[in-house]
Amino acid sequence: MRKIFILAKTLLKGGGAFSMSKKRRTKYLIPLVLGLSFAVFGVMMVMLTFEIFDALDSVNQADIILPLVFGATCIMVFIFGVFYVVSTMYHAKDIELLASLPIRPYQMLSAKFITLVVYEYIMEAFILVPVMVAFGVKSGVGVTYIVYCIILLAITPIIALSIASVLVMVVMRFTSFGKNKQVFKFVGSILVVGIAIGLNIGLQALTGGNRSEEQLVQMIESGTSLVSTVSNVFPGIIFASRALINSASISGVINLALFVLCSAGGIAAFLGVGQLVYTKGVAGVTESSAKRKGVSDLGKEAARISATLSYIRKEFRLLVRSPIAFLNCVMMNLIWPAILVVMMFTSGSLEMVKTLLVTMDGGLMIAILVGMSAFVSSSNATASTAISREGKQLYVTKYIPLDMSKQLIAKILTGYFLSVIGIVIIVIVGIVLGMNVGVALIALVLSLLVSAVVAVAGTLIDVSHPKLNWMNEQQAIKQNVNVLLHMLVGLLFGAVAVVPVLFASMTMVVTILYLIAVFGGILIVLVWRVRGRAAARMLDMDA
Amino acid sequence: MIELKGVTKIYGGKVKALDDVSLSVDDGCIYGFLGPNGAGKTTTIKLMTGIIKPDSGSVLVNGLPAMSIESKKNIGFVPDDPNVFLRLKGVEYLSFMADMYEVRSAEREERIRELGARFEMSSALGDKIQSYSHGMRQKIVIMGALMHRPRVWILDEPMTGLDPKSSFELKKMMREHAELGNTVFFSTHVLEVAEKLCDKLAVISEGRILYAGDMADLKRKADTSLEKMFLEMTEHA
Ligand SMILES: Nc1ncnc2c1ncn2[C@@H]1O[C@H](COP(=O)(O)OP(=O)(O)O)[C@@H](O)[C@H]1O
Ligand SMILES: [Mg+2]
Repeated sequence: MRKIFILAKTLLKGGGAFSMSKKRRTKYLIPLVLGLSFAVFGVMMVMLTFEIFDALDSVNQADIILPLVFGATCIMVFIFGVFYVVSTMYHAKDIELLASLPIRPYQMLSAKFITLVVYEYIMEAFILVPVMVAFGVKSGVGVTYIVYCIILLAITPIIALSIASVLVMVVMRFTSFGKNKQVFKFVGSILVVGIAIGLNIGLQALTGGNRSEEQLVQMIESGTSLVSTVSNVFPGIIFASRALINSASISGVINLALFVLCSAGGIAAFLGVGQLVYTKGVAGVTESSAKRKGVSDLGKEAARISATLSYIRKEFRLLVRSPIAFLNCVMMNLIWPAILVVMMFTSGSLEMVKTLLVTMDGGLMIAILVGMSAFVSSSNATASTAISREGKQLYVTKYIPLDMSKQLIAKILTGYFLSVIGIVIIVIVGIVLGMNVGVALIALVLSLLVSAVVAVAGTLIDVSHPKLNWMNEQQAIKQNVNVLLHMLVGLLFGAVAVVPVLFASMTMVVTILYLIAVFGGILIVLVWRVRGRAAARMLDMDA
Repeated sequence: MIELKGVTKIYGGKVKALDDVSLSVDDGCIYGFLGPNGAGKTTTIKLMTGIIKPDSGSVLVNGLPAMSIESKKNIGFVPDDPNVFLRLKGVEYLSFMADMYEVRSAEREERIRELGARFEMSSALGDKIQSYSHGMRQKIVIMGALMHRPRVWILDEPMTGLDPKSSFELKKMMREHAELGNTVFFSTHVLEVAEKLCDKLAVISEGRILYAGDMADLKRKADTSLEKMFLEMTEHA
């Protein structure tokens, strides 16, 4: 048992979930931001619960809140659990290392399970804790309520998590689903973004407007049916809410005991199934990637293309195949437009945006789209980590016989092509929302110009102080100040595009000329810098 | 032919890695570069391949400045760290190198087959380099360096991590290449490797060349053992 806890502690420390940059300045920043956003969200949830409690209490149905929230927690734990389980128990780098240590499979499984439960506490903190607090305040708490809450918080994830992991272990053992890490990560990240957006929309709907009597009845009905479904899928979860509701009486203790028993059953099932199928399932994952295959069509695979094109292709391959680079350099171009769109839809200002799009002056509209493009282009980390990503292998760029300025241009183009995806999406959304097509196309062309400026600027920033001394790509991309600097520059260019047009109330023609002159000019200067000083600086580096 | 004249290299304004080094690497022989760890071997090789600039002195490869693109085209370079582009497949890496060195279409397929067979790598070329062992990574890097049939071979500790068969194959290829009148320059910190393989030898320690000349001469001079002599040389530098 001691071994298991030591192992779990080590896994949690090295897991990266809570690890943060060692730099003093940023050391407190991340927890602070996280804590603050949690506080805001928590207060929101508490207020929401108060509101719903009062509404339900007026028809004597307030007790339905707890099973509902426990059910919701179970569902979230389950969904995230599936992904946590696959990534920590099958795709994690430490698996092979752990397998070589003198520990039994059940010890390793238990340790991993504990780390997963701890991860799930984060989820609970957002959903379960605020509701428990609100419910407690509203219905008047005793000491037992608080004690029960703490016990329940500690064990609530277990049932859903053990069901998720049993499912995953069986699937991984007998099918080939989830064996391709890259595809799995891609699907996973899209799903997480989707859930976040869905949750956002759902909460907006819950808080918005007055509820009529009829809606209330409907809510209770759908709530009751949801609760019964969830209790069927996650056996025993119903005891959790019963324990809390009856915390003042003996029935509370009984229900709590039953819930603990069910959770223990979940752990037993997890360990039992794990002993049977886990080792073979993991072997399947590691083996399938180690099987050697030759090249079927060498003529095609080794076909000659121009050096610059080949360089760009190499950059793309490396970006797409590294999960961190993929998320921050490729997915970013989809995520930012998605966030912008969701913000429009959920803030209830869609109608306003639509009317604005139709009535606003064409010139200003173009300027705003160009400004947005500048920011979105700067938010993908491709150009601003183009040199940093090379790391200790930067020397390769120095000995291959391709002009340094051509290499830099190839790197810039890689980032530029990716940004174009985001820009095209923004313009399409504009057209769908009723923007004049002609204006949209002009905005598109000018956005392509400004995005080029932004990409060149990003790589210039990275050339001037690249972060080369890193151990893992996380440090090169996520903990790279150049990425932030680049976003600031993107914001600045965005402001340069919008602010003068707004205040000088330029006509459309003047706006177009202004944007072409400013950004065309900057582009020429920056490209000249790339070919001259930046290339020279690269050759001067001692690596 | 590689020529260093009065080359000094100082890293970051502090570490003097090379101090007034002059060296002339002749064609038609295998030239070994021997020295303990941190002696300045990799630094010298980085200067020859145009990766870094000297603070003073000149580096010419076949008469061309080492930093020039034309010079880089003549060189096949095997770095000491084979962990490059791990997320590329073997064949993609070779293809990338072939594109960089402008290898003609007709040639490259045949070249990949030939090198793949010599190093027993054909069956692994469809896999990512990440899945290779250290020795296999070393082999793919050597293959990449030789794709364009360079005149000048520069290899930094090339035997490290190679299995006996591949090591034997590489030595044979170095010998063949030298005998055709080309340049073969390699570094090592292992005396036995230098002793067995090279015709000419330079010994470096703490950034200074201690000896440069024929291997045979050196053996004759060493009255007791080569090892003792090497140790003495590098100690009193
Ligand atoms: N990029 C660098 N920055 C600072 N010092 C370096 C750098 N590269 C090498 N050195 C130093 O230069 C000296 C020679 O190193 P190197 O040429 O790598 O030696 P060798 O290859 O013979 O082992 C060592 O003292 C090393 O620490
Ligand atoms: Mg070295």
